[in-house]
Amino acid sequence: MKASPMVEIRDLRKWFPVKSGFKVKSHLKAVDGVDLEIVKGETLGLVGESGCGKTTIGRTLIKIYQPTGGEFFYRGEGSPEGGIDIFSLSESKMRPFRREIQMVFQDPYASLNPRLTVFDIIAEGLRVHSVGRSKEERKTMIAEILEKVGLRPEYMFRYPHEFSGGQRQRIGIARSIVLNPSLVICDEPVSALDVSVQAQVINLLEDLKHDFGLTYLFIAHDLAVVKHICDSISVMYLGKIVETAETDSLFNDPLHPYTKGLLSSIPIPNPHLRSARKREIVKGDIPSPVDPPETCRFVKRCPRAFDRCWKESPSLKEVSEGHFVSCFLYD
Amino acid sequence: MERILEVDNLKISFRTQLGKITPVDGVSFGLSKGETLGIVGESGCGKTITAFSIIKLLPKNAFLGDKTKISFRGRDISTLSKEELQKIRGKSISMVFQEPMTSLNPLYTIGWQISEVYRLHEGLDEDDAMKRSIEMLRLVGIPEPQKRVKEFPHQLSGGMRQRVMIAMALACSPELLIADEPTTALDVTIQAQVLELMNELKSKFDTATIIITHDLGVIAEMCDRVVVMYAGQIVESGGVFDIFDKPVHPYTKGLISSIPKIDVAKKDQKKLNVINGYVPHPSNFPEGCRFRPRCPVAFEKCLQQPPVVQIERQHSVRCWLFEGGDVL
Repeated sequence: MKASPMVEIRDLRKWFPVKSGFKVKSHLKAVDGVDLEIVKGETLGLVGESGCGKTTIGRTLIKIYQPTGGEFFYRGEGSPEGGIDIFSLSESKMRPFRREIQMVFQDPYASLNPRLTVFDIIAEGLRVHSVGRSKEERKTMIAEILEKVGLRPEYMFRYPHEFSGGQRQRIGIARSIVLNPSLVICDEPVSALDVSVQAQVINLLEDLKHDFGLTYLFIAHDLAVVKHICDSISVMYLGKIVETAETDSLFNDPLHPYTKGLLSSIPIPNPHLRSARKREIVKGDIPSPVDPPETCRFVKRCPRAFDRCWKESPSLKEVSEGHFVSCFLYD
Repeated sequence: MERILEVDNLKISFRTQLGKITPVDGVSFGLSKGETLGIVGESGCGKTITAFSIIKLLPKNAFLGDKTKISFRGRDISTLSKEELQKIRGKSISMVFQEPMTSLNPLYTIGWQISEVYRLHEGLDEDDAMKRSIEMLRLVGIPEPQKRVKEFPHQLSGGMRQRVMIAMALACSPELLIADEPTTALDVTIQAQVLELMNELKSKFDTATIIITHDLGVIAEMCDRVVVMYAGQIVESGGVFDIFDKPVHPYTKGLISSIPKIDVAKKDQKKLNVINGYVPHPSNFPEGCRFRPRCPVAFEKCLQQPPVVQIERQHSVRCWLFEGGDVL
């Protein structure tokens, strides 16, 4: 089944300089050597706790942040055989790919301009990419897409403040889908929403994926949501991927001590499991990503750390088919 | 079991520029010693102000209804003066707030803030109060408490701050602890640490606890009884197993089936059940049953206020579908 993945990210790094005065003192290594692959039509979940760098990955991929290093091979519409490294493109050469790769943001309040109507918000992308010849044509397209995401086309000339959180998130989704992208990066698209509305938006994302043949990179911290929506999952800790596997394989057979701790930390909405569960609670807090030492990043909190973990940094290795882990226990 | 708290017919109104709004209306519940009650609902359902009203932590423009009675160990505390309330707050009833950064004073060391509780309520001098504070910090699992008491809130991580909040809340061994979304601001591994700590301390002190949360997972892990709120009213209440195994109110059912099931394999997952529409704002709650516009099984009768019906011991529901049962 080994198809060439549509998205192939190699050794992605994003370091932020930490300055004292004018001198760069050290680096905050938000993303430090990340490899990811996404097969066309699938959803890859990227999970981790706050500060692990998952949002930075999403933003670096569409060059909101300039990558410090690494490659992002994209094999989709408009790219040559064998793919193209998005990071090597100039801004003008990248423009067609900006239409191909879209983003849905976390905060439905901050990500919509309050002074533009829904029409203006969605039409901006169409205008920039010269889609639709006239305003009338764009209006029809926008009416269609609004209907598709479950909003009434009459709402087109209203302002964001007239909508609830869930409706705003639908507007944000409409804005990215209207350009007919191939890859959509969803950065915590449902974490700001209430449970009943969250389910509506999850179902919408799944329907759209099916109808438009989309590929998702789904960034989230809620593991129940990720399990529901993703085909495979990468777990991040402090700027690195610690484990990547197909969804069921990751949940049934987690290998990395951090993944194990993370999975057993989730409160499960089933009171019968309360006493039956064996919990492995991860002790301690997430350390600072500023100049992290060249050891395993998880070593200080790991219940199974041994000598080697304190001396060198493990790399991601395939231990069974499609199951990758970065840990010396499996070396 | 000894009854600690009885809230009867709680009604909270606000005077606003747009007139009077009543975000909580007709809420009644009780709590016994050692029991943990969960109040669950989505944002705007009134769960937080319900809990805040118990110790009157309400804004100035808020007022309680005439028929509202809040009795704590048999004494009505809804009419107490500020001075009398002060003696109860932090001693017999204490709170853990959602945001551990904004609920600690950034200008004082955490040692000073915890020992304040001892100085005020137990009349200890500074040295003794500080000693007790160090003990308390050790109890909540903070390493090197002698050193930590001299630190300020910004020097601690989120999880540590929440431990400090819990230490402060439990300092005088209160009879009732109210925790408002105690782990919402925390990461999942830290959340697990804090929940485990709360469970340990609960069995140690036998404190009656109210946990307010939107997370049904936290409810399932922590609570004995559950109250489900929607639009300022309790729509269903019962034991934790009643609520999860055989929910009866259409809202409770919808809520439970709209969360992705983490204990079900990916290949067996079905499409999520959806509650259509959005939570109404307190300024225009629907007439009759407040869930009616979103309810999949609403019928004509739902235009009138539904009765609260007891369907089993300790399990009651506010819905016309169960008309004919014992009306509470």
